Amino acid sequence: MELKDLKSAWDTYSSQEVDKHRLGKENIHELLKNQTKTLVDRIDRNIRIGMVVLGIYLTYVLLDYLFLSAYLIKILVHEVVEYPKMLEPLDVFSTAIIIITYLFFVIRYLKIKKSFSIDLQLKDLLLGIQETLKTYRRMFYLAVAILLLNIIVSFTAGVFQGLKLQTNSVNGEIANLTASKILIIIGVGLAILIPLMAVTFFILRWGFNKLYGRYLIRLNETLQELNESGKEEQLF
Amino acid sequence: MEKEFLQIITENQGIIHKVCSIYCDLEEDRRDLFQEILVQLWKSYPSFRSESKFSTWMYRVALNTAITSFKKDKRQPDKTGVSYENMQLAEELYDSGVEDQIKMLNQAVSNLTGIEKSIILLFLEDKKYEEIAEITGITQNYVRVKMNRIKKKLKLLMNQEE
Repeated sequence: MELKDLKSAWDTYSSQEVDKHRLGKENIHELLKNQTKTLVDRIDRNIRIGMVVLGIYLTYVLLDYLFLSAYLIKILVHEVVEYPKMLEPLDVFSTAIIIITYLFFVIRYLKIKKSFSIDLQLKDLLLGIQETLKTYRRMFYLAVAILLLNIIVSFTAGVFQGLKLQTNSVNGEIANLTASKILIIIGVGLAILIPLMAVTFFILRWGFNKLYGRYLIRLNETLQELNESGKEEQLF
Repeated sequence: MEKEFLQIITENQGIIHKVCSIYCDLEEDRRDLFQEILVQLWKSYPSFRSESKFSTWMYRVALNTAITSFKKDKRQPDKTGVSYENMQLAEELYDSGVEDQIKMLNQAVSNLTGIEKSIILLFLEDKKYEEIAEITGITQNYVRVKMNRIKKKLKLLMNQEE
């Protein structure tokens, strides 16, 4: 089959297809009213939800650090429970990192959003979507990191407090525990904590890749194809 | 503005249907893509300036949407590239020679990449290299190079099928 035959086959086929699917003004209006969300719209919505959730979380962390924690312990435990001093720098450091990353993320996202439009040149559009997705992925991993840090800090603090209460109940001191007992406690703690963190991380990562992994690969391939055009252009 | 938009889209809807025909194998995908393109056209309509022809702008938005559309892996496309609906249409409307050519065309086109599909569609629609370059955002030289490759690829694919 020659290309001119291909053209005539296309003309016949496309005109029949257009006639078959032709819509009236009302149908088009109806489709616009019931518009579904495109990928970029959905990501945009998810990012906005993520921003709000992270914002609420940071406010909670701040309130918790300032007075909520002390207040709850006072009400629920009825005795003075000391927050492990060794965890304080880790707590402050992780919160600071989260706030900085969060602000960086918000600024970056607003910048991308401002310059994004579907009628851009294809390459710019693909780069825009890729950047949006990458930013989304960064935010996703930020949320995962917060969750994991939270698990570590809470778990360690919990073990420490539990141990302290236990030893207090038998009029003992943590400092009097033998090395082998401490090693067993650390071992059991790690045996629970590490698989818990690994499973949480891998499930979340798998979920993200399942949703967007193939799409990102396709975007990269298309971009690569367009970049080849630039390279070949220089040869002419 | 909405009235004006509806009028202009109703008149030019052929462009969207053709883009959907070349990018979708299944009727359901086709409907989704049609709606997605429509929504994108509506959203970016306020930014349309008459610097380029309306059809050029419409092709660009439609092709950009098709190339970047996000499909979940819920439906498996027909690997032959010929949809059941198309087969039925062919049986109803064409003689066997044209039907074979259409099958071959669909099969060959389904093996092209997203960008190649956009270039071949514009070529089949008799667009000049200059306009293809304007719509796709790649240079005229590369459109020529790419077009030659696509022609070779299509010939090869169609010869294999014959």
